[in-house]
This record gives sequence, structure tokens and C-alpha cells, in this order.
Amino acid sequence: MTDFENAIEINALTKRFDGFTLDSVSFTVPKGSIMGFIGQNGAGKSTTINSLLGIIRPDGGEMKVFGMDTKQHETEIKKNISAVFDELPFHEQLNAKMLDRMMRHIFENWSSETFFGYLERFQLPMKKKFKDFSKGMKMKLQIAAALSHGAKLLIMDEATTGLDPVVRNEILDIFLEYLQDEDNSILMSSHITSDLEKIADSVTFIDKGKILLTGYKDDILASHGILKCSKADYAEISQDDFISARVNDFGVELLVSDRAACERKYSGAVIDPATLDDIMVFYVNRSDNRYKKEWS
Amino acid sequence: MKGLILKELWLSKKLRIIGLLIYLLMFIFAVLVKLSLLYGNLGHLNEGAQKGAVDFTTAVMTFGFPLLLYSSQFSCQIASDEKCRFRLYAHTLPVTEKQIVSSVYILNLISLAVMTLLSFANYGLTCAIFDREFKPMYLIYILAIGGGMFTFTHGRYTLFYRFRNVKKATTVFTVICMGLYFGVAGGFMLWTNSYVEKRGHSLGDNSGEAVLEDFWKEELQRPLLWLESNGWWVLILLMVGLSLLFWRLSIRALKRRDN
Repeated sequence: MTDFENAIEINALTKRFDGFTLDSVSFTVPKGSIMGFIGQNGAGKSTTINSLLGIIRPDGGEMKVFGMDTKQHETEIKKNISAVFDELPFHEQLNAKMLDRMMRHIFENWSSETFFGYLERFQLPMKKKFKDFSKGMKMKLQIAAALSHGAKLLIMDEATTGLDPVVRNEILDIFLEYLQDEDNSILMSSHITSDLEKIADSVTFIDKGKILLTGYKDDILASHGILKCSKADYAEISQDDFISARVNDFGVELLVSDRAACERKYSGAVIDPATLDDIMVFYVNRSDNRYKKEWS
Repeated sequence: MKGLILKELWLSKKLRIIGLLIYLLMFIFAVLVKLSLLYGNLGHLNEGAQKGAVDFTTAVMTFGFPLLLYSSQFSCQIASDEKCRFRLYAHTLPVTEKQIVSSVYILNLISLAVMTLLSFANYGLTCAIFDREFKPMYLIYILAIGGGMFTFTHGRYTLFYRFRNVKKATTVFTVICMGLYFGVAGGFMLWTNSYVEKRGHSLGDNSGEAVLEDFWKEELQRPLLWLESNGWWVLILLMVGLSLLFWRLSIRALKRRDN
């Protein structure tokens, strides 16, 4: 594997389905970072990830992993990546011991010691069949398997969805440990933005197959804000200055993308920090051409 | 690929054990038939009835058991892979479609070899138990059953890979088999009819039997005799050719991505 700057480079990725189009999606995941891929259900997160993993064939665009084209270097790339899905992709009749024996012959760098170490840490049984595992146990097992062959890139599709906060936190800690190695990177799709807010270095928002926003999380959080004002003040704010607005009985909340500029322009206005959740909701409203959403 | 073979083996373990247990039970039943002939109720039957019982038991032991063994030992876990989404997950592993399909073929080829040896041993035991003459030609018949089952089963698996839905694949396979059966039966009828017309008789005539006898001698006997002396390589060629074709088609079907 040659030296590379970005773990993932996606350029103009396009995939057309009946009733849905992934429209020229482009973003990069820098080496050694964790990117949160955010979007509501059906936004195109799984389509992007499945295209990247070779599960579906895209109609157009270019994808590079570790600086190598995914079509030309498929096997080499797959030796160094791990995928984690929302559901366990292993047969229910198998157990962890069998999985270890199977994976040992699939991955050259598979480490049984690492795998059993994770099993012990997660308190997962070795001989219990997967059909008797809880959802949390299944997810921990997938993560244990994903981290046991020295993968340099972890791709997760809604991996923490449906898990309780304790298990989610435990898993997020593992990811942070994994990122201690600067060569390791993570692409994590989720609509649970609180998880990504905790650990992501950069975020990409997607909706209806289009990228709404991509960049470093801290930059995005620093530049965006929620401007709160009365309905009368709202009438005087230029539509170019905000992404979309939420109108309720008590006033109006607007998401602004240049907090500093708005503070200067609308002196006296209260601008609170925005969360990734806020940013997603307001951007989705905008992409729906709903610049103003009435809330009663 | 060894990992994939192990996976196939573990997932089909139960079915394989059940197949071997049924075989054991049937073998015990055959031994009981022999004991009954020597000391029990069957020994009181007349000679003709006893011979019929022995003929039936040896025929089932010699050809029925291999059929049972082969059918229980060939397996493909594509339905199970589909159910737990392992097929999709496999696209993320450093394994090729060729390796995935080949793992099924290799395991089933090993099963074919082991079950053939077991069937040979079973035939030898049958001959010993029922004092029958050991006919080496029967070993070729047993091997043909195994080869035929292998080809037939993998033809069905090709449709599993193609449709990714066991019900749909089984329906299509049944329709193809029925089509082949009626095609062959219809073709044979057309052949006999044209022969009868050529001879200027109808099968309803008193001379119908004689015409059929002639049909056997003139039309059927020669190719059948040829098959008897050359059949082994035709059979091998056919089975190997078809199996290779199914293998290639399965890989192609597995390479096709979902939309």
C-alpha cells in the first residue's frame, strides 16, 4: 500500500434507482480521522457506502480508498478494510470460535489473540450460537471481528442504531482507541448525531442523494448558529443570511451558516450554538425548499 | 477459501449427520432382513418369496443407499447466506466470487469421493451379507449415480445463485426438469410413431408387438450397445462438462450486483 493522504476519496459518485438518484456525491475522509456521514433514512448513506464497498455497482464517478481505485485494486483494498452493518451478517448457527477459524483463513493478518481479547473485553461467549445473542452482543461481535485483522479503514453503516446508550458509549470508546493509530480511519454513517458529535473529526450531510454540507465538525459547529428573534424581526432578515427558519408561537429560530457575520450584521440578536442535529434538520428543510417551517 | 469451505461444512453439518444416521438405520434394517431370513419369519416363506425379498433389499442397498447418501451430503448454503446477508458481506471480504462458488464445489467433490467409497463398501457388505456375486460394473453404476446427482444438484444451485431466492429457483428448476422430461418422452413417441409409419403399420395392429420388437432391434439396440461399451466416457464427459458450465454460470450469477 503506497502512502496516501486520504483514506477515502469519492468524486461525482452517481447511482440511479427507480425513484431515487445518488447525485454526484463527492467527499474525502482524511487519513487518521473519523468522518460522520449524516442524513435521514433514505438520504443515500447506505447507497454511498454500498457503492464504496462494491456491494452495488455505481453508474458513474470515481472512488479511491488508500489512494487506490476501488475497481482496479478491489482485493488489495478489501484486505485492509472492515465493514460493520446494522445487522449481523454471520449465520445464526455459528459461534465465535467458528467465526475465528473461518476468518483466520480469509484474512492474512487475522489475529485470533486480538479477536479473543475483544470477546473477553465485551464479555461475549465463545461457544454460544449467534442466534442467542442480543442486538448489543451482535454489534460488539461485528466490531470485534472488524478490528481483528489490522484493518486501516472501518466503514460503518448505521452500526450504533438501535443500541442502548451504555453499549453505544462503550463502542465509541473502542473507536477512539482504534484511532490512536494515525494510519487508521473511520467512515461512520448514522442519523444519531449525538454519537458523531462526540467522536467525529469531520462530517458530511447528505439528503435526497445530494451532499448538503461537508467539512470539519468543529469548523461547521463554530460557523453555524441558531439565531432567535421575534416574528417582526424575522421579516427584516434577508433570506440569503440563513439556511432555513423554524417559526413557532414564541418567535422564530433561524440557522445561520456564518455566525460571526450575522452577529455583526444583526447586532443585538441572540445566536446560540447549533448542534449537528439542528444543522441536519435546517438543511433538510432547505433542500425541501421549505425556507420557513411553521411550528405551532 | 478454506474459511469458506469450513463455513459450508458447519452449516450443513446437521443435514449430513441426519443422512448418515438414516443410512445406518437402513443398514441395520437390511441386516435384520438377513437375520429374519435365517432365523425369523422370512425364513418360513417359499423360495420365490424369499428371493424376492433378498432381491428387493439388495437393490435398495446397492442403488438406493447411494442415492440417499449423495442427496444428503451435497449442500449449498446460498439460501442461508441470503437470509443473514452474508452474500452482501462477502463482497467486503478479500474473497472472489470464484472462491465462494468453488468452496461449495470443492466440499461437494470431497463429499462425492467419500460417499462413493462408502457406497462401494456398502455394496461389498451387501454382497457379503446376502451371498451375492460381486459385479465390478455395479461400482461404475454407483459412481454414475453420484456423478449424476452432483451435476443435477449443482444445476439447481446455479439457479439459486441466479435468482437468489430458493422458492423461485426451485420453481424454475422444476419447470426445466418437467420440460426436459416431456421433451424426451415426446421425442421418443415421435420417433416410434415415425418408425411405425415407415413400416406401414399402426401400433394397434396385431403385428404391433412384432413392429416394436423390430424397432428395438433396428433403432434402439445399436445405440444402447454402443452406450454400454462407451457410456462411461460419454457420461464422464457430460457430467464434467455440465458441472463446469454450472460452475461458470454460478460465478457469473454471483458477480451480478443487486440494484
